[in-house]
Amino acid sequence: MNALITAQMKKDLVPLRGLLLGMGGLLALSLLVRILEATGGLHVSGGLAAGLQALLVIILLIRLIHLDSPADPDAFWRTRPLTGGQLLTAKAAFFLPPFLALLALSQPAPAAEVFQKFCPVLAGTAAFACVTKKFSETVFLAVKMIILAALMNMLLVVVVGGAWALGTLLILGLRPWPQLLSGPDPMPIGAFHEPFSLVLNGLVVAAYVGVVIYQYLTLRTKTAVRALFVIVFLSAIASSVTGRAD
Amino acid sequence: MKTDSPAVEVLDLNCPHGSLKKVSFEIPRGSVYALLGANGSGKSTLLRALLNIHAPASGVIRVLGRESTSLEPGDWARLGYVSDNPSLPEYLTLVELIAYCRPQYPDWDDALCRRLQDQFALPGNRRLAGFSRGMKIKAALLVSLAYRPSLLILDEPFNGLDVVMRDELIQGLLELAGDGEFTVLLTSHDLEEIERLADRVGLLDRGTLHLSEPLDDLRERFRRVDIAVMGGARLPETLPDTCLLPEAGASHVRWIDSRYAGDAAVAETVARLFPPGTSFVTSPLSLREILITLIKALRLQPLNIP
Repeated sequence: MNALITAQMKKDLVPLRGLLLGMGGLLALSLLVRILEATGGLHVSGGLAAGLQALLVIILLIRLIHLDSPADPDAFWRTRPLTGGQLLTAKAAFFLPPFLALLALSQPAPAAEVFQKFCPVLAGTAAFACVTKKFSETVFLAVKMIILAALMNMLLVVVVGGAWALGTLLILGLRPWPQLLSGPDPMPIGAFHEPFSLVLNGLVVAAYVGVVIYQYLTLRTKTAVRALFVIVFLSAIASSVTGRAD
Repeated sequence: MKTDSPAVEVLDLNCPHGSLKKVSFEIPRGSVYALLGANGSGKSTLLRALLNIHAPASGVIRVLGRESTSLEPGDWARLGYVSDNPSLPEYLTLVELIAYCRPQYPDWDDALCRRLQDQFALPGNRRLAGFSRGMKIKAALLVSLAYRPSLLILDEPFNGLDVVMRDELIQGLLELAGDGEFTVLLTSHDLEEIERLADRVGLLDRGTLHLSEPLDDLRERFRRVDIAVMGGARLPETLPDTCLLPEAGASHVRWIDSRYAGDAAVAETVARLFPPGTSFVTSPLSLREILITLIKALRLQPLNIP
């Protein structure tokens, strides 16, 4: 591996080794619990361990990005002979092995389910982290965007639902109200099937990853934040249409 | 990339950060250039624009022959930058920081690195977070000097350094500058250090660069002119624009000549403005006095200084 990338990974290992050890310990514990469960000696819910692991992965990702934030013009690496592409490669090379190991060892669920539930969250976390300098900024931006998405969602439901109701009333105005309301699924929200949802998740992940790559290669934080806004906005619309709850 | 080009070329730079206005200057290779000015005059902004940390609104900046907006890793490997508050990875020890930086620079000089570490008396195995401000600046200097950069940019490098350390830093920079290829651009309020170190100076005031020239030329063209006047001194009604901060005392008139061209030229001006036989004395100014004069004059007459 390139000496620059190796040096970068070694540097990142110094502040993150405690977190990696914690993840390893948690993984060992959950494997032990699974073995005990398999031998029939213990019945413990794996939900807590899985939740903790997910939380640690998210913290690891945010910390890893913020160690050399591409959004910070004063970051040490910015005036050093290191390109954004090299930095991104080093970060990916650092993050992916423990993440994939964790995924492989701790998730008995099918890959598609993991992909559907966790990958968009993780990709979104990476995108939000790489346009901010500190953990608190990441959380603040994410909360702002979630509120925005929720408002968009509500607005869309009101507008589309109102238009639908109005249209129905105009077209089928002669039908009595009770009949209209008791009809089979008068609004088709939530009518899309699982494969569509999976494709949508894939698109959301790709869009977030695109923002991460764009930010590292161009260091144009404002544009990346605008792109994030568009992604959140569109995924809010899509989740309204498909009835997906995220 | 042109190797005969100046180390830094700035042409009509306008920058919204710090409101830099039409700044133009050049720094020849091998020189030590001091950028001077009051707090908030735009010095740090200008340095950050050179390093592409701040994008210019218009104008051109070339650093080591390449536009600052398209600096590549090879260019950064010949550039050193130390800010007054260096943002180091403080979770590392100095040894780890050196191990991190070394692979980035093909010209990393281990012997120089060891020498600088000894000279700066920095502990290798203590985390940078536990370093004092001065020690952090030394650490940043160490990892910016150990690859013998072609251009070293220092923003207030003497802040937080003790007197001995300042002296050693100046000696070290002068030694490196001795090879003729090493260029230094620095900002500082420590004029005594600047006088020892710099061979060219620029004066920035409220975003405008008012002068950029060799320090010796600047010293040569500024003179205090004291005129002994008998029977009550009064300022002449018309003084040349080059006579800055004129003042009249009980028995003398004084000004600072910003275009001193020898005592003969001063004698002509005095003969034109005062009665025959009026005597005068000219005396050189220190860099501090020149700067105070210029900044005061700029406050009084903000458009231009002859």
